[in-house]
Amino acid sequence: MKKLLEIGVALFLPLILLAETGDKILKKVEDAMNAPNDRIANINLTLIDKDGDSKVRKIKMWQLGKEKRLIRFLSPADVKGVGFLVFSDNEMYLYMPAFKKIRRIASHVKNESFMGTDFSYNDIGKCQYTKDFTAKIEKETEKEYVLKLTPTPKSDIDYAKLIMRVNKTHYIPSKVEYYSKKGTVLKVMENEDTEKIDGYWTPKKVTMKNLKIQHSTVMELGIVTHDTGLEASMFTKRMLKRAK
Amino acid sequence: MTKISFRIILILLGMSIISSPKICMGEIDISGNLKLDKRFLVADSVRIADYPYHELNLKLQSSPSKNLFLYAGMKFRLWDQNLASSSADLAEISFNNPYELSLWEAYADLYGFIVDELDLRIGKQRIAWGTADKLNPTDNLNPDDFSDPLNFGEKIPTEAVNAIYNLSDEYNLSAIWLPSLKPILLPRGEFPLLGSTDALPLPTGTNLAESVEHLTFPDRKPENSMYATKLSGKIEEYDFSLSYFWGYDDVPIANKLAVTPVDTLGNVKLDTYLGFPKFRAIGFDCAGELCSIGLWGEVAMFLPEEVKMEIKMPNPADPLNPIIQDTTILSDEPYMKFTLGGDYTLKTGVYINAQWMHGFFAERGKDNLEDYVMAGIEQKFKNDEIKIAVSGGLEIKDIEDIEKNYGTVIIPELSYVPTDNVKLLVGAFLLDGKLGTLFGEWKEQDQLYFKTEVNF
Repeated sequence: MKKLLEIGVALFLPLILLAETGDKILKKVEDAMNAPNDRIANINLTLIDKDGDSKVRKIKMWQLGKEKRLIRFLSPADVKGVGFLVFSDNEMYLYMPAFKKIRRIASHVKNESFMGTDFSYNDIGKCQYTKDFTAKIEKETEKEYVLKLTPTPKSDIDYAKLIMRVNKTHYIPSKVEYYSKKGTVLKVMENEDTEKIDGYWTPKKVTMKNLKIQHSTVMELGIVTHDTGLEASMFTKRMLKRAK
Repeated sequence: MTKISFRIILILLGMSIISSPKICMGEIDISGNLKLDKRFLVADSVRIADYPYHELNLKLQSSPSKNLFLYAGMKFRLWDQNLASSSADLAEISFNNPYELSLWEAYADLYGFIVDELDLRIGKQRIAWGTADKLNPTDNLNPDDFSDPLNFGEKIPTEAVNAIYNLSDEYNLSAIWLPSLKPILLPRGEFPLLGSTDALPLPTGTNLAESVEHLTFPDRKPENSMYATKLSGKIEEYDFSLSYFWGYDDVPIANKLAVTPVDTLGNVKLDTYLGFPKFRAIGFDCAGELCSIGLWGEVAMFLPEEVKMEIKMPNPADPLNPIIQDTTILSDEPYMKFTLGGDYTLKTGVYINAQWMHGFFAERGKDNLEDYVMAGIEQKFKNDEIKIAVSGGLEIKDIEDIEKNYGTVIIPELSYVPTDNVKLLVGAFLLDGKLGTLFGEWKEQDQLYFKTEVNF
C-alpha cells in the first residue's frame, strides 16, 4: 500500500506542480509584459468622445524594469514639456515646465485619469498585476485563458475585479474588463496588433474604453526599441526636469 | 477686443504660419501662449479693473547638442488702460494702450559640465524652491511678481548662475550666485498691495504740500551679490531639502523720513528714503504621503539685519536744528514663516487641497506675521474638459480677538477646454475682512474675471 502511494505521488506530483493556476498565469502575463530590460517608445494617444470627436496627444516613454517610467508630453502645445516620473509604486512626480517645478504626486491620484485620458495613473505607471491581485482561472479555451483577478486586501485598487483574457501563445492579455463594486463593467482595455519587436511580444495598439462616459483612448506605439541599456539614472528628478 | 489684441492675434496667426506644420524652424523650437484677461470690479459700481493685462508669451528653445540646452522666453504685456491726459497724448500708442516687452527668461543649460554629475544653468532664470503649493516661504531667490496681485506666488526670473551637483540619483547640492538685487514688481493702478502706511504725525500747524520717494538700490558691486545653497534628498519615502539664502529682501522699506518746510505758511515737504533690507534665511521643506494623503511642509527661519529709520522734523523752537529721531523699523530678531499642507482625491474624483500659511509673501518681522488657512476643492468632468473649482482663504490677524481681526477670500472658478490648446475661464474674487487685515484692505477689489488662454 505504501509503495502504491509512493508510485502515485511520483506519477502525479509533477503534473500537480506543472498545472497552471491563475496566479501562475498572471505571473507569466506580468513577465511577458515586462520582458524587456528597458523600452523606449513614441506613443500616440487618441482621445475619442461619444460623438466620435478626437484629440491626439503625443508622448515619449522610457521604461526600465517593472516600475520605472519616464513620460514626456510632446504635443499638443498646452501640455508640451510636461513630464511624469514613476520612481516606485508610491513615488510619482510631475514636472510642469510653466512653473519650473517638480511636484510630488501622492498615491491618491492613482485611480484618477492620467492627463485627461481613459488610462489611470495606475494603468500608465506600472504593470505589476501580481502585487495587487490574486487570479483564478474562470475559463480555458484552446487559445486563451480567462482569469478573474481580485484585488488583494492591501492593494489600493478601486475595482472589485478584473476579467482578463490571456493569449496562450505569448501571455499578452487580449482584453481586460474592469468591474465596479456594483458589478458593472466600468472600463475595457483591449490589446491589438501584438507582434514581436526585438524578440519581445508587444501590443502595438491598446484601447481603453470608459463605458460610463462612452469615451475611449487609443494608445498606438510608433517607434519602439528594447534593451537599449537605459540606466537607473535616467529615472531621476534630474532627468525629469530636462527639456529633452 | 482692443485693436492691439487684434494685432496680437495677427502676430499669432503669422507665427503659426511660419512655424507650421511642426512649430519648428531649423533646430529652434518655437512655442508660446496668449493670455487674455478682463476683469470687472463689482464692489460698488461695476467698472473695469486697471491692473490686469493681456499677455503674449513667446518661447524659443534649442538643443544644439546632447549637453546643451538654450531657452529664451519673451513676454509682451498689454494693459487695457488709457493714460492719455491731453490731446497730444492721443498721438502716442503707449498712452492709449500701455505695453511692455521683456526678455523674461534667457538661459543656457550645460549638462555634465566639467564632470558628469554637474549641471549648470546660466542666465535669467526662475529658481523655484519649496514643496508647498504656491505659498513657499523658502522661495526667496526670485522677486515677487505682484503685477497681478491676485495671482499669488508668481515670481520674476532673475540673472543667476545655478550649479547643481548630483551626489547620487537621490541627492543633489545646489549653489547659486545672484549678482544683483531685483526688486518686486508691483501692480499698475490703485491696488493697495502693501497695505496702507501709517501717516507720519506731522508737527502741529504744518500741512503736507509735497511728498517725494527716493528708492536706493545696493551698489552694483560683487560684495552686494546674493548667494544660496540647497541640499536635496530623500529619507525613506519623503523628499526633503535644506536651504540657506543670503541676500536682499525684494520689498523696499523706508529707512529715512525727512520733513522740511517749503514756505513760511506751514507747508512742508516729505522725503521718504527707501532701501532694501538684507536677510538670511535657513529653510527646510519636505513632501511625501501618509495613508495616500499627500503631505508637505516648508519652514524658513529669517534672520534679518536691523533697519533703523531716521526721522527728521522741523523744530519750531529752533529752526536751524531740526529734531532727529532714530527708531527701529525692522528688528534683527529672527522670525519664522511656514506652510503646512496636504491634498487628497476622493473616490468621486473630487480633489481637495488645504494649506496653513504663517506669514504672507510681503510680511516680515516677528510681530507682523499673520496666519492664513487656504483650501480648495475641484472636480473635473468630460475627461478634464470642464473643471469646477472653489478655493478660499481665511486670514487670522489675531486669534485671540478673531472677530475683529479676520479677512476672507472666496474664488469660484469654471474652466472649459473647448478644443486642444484653448482654455476659457470665468470666475470671481470675493474679498472681505476687517480693517487692517490684508483681505480687508482689498475688499474693494471684489471682481469677476474672464480669461482666455491659447497655446501654440
